[in-house]
Amino acid sequence: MTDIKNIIKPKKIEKGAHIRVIAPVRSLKLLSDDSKKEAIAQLEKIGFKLSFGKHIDEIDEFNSSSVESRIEDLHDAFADKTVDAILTVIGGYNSNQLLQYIDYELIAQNPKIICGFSDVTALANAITAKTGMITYIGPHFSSWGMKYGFEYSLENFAKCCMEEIAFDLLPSKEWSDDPWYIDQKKRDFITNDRYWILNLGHAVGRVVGGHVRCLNALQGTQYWPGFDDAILILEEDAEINPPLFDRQLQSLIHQSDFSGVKGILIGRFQKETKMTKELLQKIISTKKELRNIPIIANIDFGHTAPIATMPIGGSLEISATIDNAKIRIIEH
Amino acid sequence: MSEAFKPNFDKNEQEPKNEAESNVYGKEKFSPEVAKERVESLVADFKGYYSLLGYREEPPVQISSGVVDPTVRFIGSHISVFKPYLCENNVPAPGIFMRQNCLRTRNADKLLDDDYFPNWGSYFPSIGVITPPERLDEACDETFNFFEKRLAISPENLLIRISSADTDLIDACKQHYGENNLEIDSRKPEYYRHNIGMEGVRGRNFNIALRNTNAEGFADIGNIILLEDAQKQLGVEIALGSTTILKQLYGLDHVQDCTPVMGLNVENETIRRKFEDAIITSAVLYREGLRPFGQNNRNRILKQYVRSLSYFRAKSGINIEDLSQIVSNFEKREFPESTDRVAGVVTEFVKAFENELLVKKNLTDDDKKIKESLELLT
Repeated sequence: MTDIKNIIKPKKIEKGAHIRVIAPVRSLKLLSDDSKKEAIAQLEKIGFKLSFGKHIDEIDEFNSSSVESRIEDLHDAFADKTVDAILTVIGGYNSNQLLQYIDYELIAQNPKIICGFSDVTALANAITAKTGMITYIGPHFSSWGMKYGFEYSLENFAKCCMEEIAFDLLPSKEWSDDPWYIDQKKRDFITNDRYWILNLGHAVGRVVGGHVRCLNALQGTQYWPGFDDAILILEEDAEINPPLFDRQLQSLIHQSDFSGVKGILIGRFQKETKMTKELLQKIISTKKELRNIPIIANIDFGHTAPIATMPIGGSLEISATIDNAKIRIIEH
Repeated sequence: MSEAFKPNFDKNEQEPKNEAESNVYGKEKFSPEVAKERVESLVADFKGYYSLLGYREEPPVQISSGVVDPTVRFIGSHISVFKPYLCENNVPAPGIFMRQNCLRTRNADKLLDDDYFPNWGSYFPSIGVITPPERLDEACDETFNFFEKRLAISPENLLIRISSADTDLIDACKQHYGENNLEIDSRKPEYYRHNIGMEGVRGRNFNIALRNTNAEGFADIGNIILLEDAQKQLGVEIALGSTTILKQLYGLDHVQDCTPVMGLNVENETIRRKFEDAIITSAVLYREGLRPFGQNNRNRILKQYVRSLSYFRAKSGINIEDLSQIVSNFEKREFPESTDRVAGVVTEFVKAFENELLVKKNLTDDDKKIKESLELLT
C-alpha cells in the first residue's frame, strides 16, 4: 500500500512572475540561438521575468552536465524566494541520476511550479512521491520556442499553472509531428481525429505518470509514485514502437499495486512509432487487467505538438462512453 | 486512539434548554457571525493566562500529518503533541500550553444512519496544558483560577466529577473547592481512567463540568489527568474543550454552533448537524492537503465525509453551486487569514463521485442509499 502524502499545491503564477530556467537533463547549449531567443520572447511577452540556473550552459559528452551542477541549480531555484516557478530546458535521459541527491524537505518547504516533460517524468513523479507537491508535465522552456502551433499549449499551461479552477481538457484542433526547431516555417499541421475511446467507464483519481520508460525507471525505488486510486497518464517518443510499448505497459501491470489504477490516458504517438488506433486497441484488449477501466488515447500530451499540461499528484475525472470522452482536470 | 478530554454525553446528561436570554453566567446565546470571535477570545484568554504563569507555548501541528503521533489517524487531542515530553520524562516546569485543532471521527461510520444524531462535531479547537507531576496541586489551583478569574465562573456553577479511589486528586481539588463542588463516584470506573496510546502509561482523571444555562444539571467541559506508568508519575495534563466551554457559558444548542456553517436552511436537525459536520470536516482536511484517495485510513475516512455531502445535499434539496457557496462561506469565516480556498475542489470531488455512481456497477449499500437520494432530488 502506498502512503499517499498530503498534497501541496504550489502557488499559481501570474503576469510578472519570476521563472527560473534550469537544465536537470540536457543543457541549454543544445538549443539553437533562434529557438532560445524565441522562447525568451514568448515568455516575456506574457509578462514573465526570466532567470537561468548558474550551470545551465554546462555541457558534457552526453549533452548534459554533472549531477552536482544540476542539483545545485535545482536547489537554488527552490530556495530562491524570488523565484515563482521553474521550467526545465529540455528532456533527455538522465534526470533520475539526481533523485537520491535532492533535498525534498527544501522543496516541500518552498513549493513552486516545476514544469517539463519527457525525461522530466522521473523528476516530477519522484518529487510528488516524496513531498506530495503537485508537479507539472507540460512544456519545457524549449517548447516555448515554437513560433506556430503553440496556442493550445499556452492555453492549457495557463489553465493549469495560472488559474485555480477545474477545467475540461479538450482536444486540439490540429497537431504536428515535425522538427519545428530546425525549420519554424516548414510545418505540417494535421487535423485532429479526436480522442480514441478504447475502454468505456468512469474514474476519479490522482494523476501519476508521463513518459512510460521514464516512469518505469522508478519501479522498485522509493521514488515510485504508487498506483492507489491513480489515473495513469502515459506517453512515448519516437524511440518506441508498438511491441516495445506493449512491453512497457505489461511491466506497469506487473506492479503489485496496479489494481489501484482507475483509468488510463495515453498521449498521442509520434508518426515514427507506427502506432495506430487498431494496434493500440489490440495491445489493450490482450490485457485482462485493463478490461474494467476507462482508457482514452490520442490525447494532446507527449512528443507531438501541441501539448497540454498535466498535474502529477493532482486529480482528474474521466468519463468514456461509446460516443463521448470527457477529461476533467479537477485539481492542479 | 489517544484521547485526552473525553466529553461525557450519556443519555442521562441533562441538556440546557436555552429559553432564557440571559443565563446563569449572565451571557446570551451568540450569533453565528461572532462565533469565530468568541472562540478566539476564549483561546486568547487561555493563552494569556498560562503565559503569565510562565508556561511556554507549543506550536500546533496538522491534524492529518500523522508525523507527530503515528498511533492516531488524526490528532484528536494535544496529548499527541505532548507525548515526546512524557516519553523522555522531561516535562518542563512550570509547563507547556497549546491550542490544537483536533478531529475525532466517531461520526464517520454513522453519517448515513438517519436515526443517528451527532452530539459532538468531529472538528474542534482544543486547549491544553502539561505540567510536571509534582505540580499537581498548583496545576489544579491554576486551572480552577482560570475558570473563576478569567472566565468569571463562580464556584456554584462548577462541578468536579471524581473517583473516591483517587485520594491524591481529591486532595488537590479540596485545596480550592469544598465538598459541594465534588461529585464522587457518580460514573462508571472507566470514566475516571485514561489510555493515551503509550505502552504502560495510564491516566487517572477527574472531569470538570459546568452548570447548564437553565441551571439544571452540569455537562463536562474538560479534565485533569495524572499520567503515570508502573514506576513513576510522568506529568499532569489539563485538557479543555473550547467549544464545550462556550456551549455551556452561552447556552448554545450544539458545539458546532462555535464553528457555524451558515446557509444550511435544513429543518431536520439530525440531517443539518451531520451535514454541517461533513462540510466542516471535509473543508478542514482538504485544507491540510488530504484527499479522498488511497487505502490509508485517513483518506478513507475523508472519503466517507465527502461522499456523505451528496446524501445530505440531496436530502436538503441543495444544488452543487449552493453547496460550493456554503463551503466557501464557511472557509472564509473560519479561516479568514488564509487565501487558499478548497470549496471549489471539494464540490468538484462531490460532482465526480456522483457521476461515478451513475455508471458504477457494484454498488455498496451506502452507494445505493446516496444514489437513491440523488435520484429523488432530480
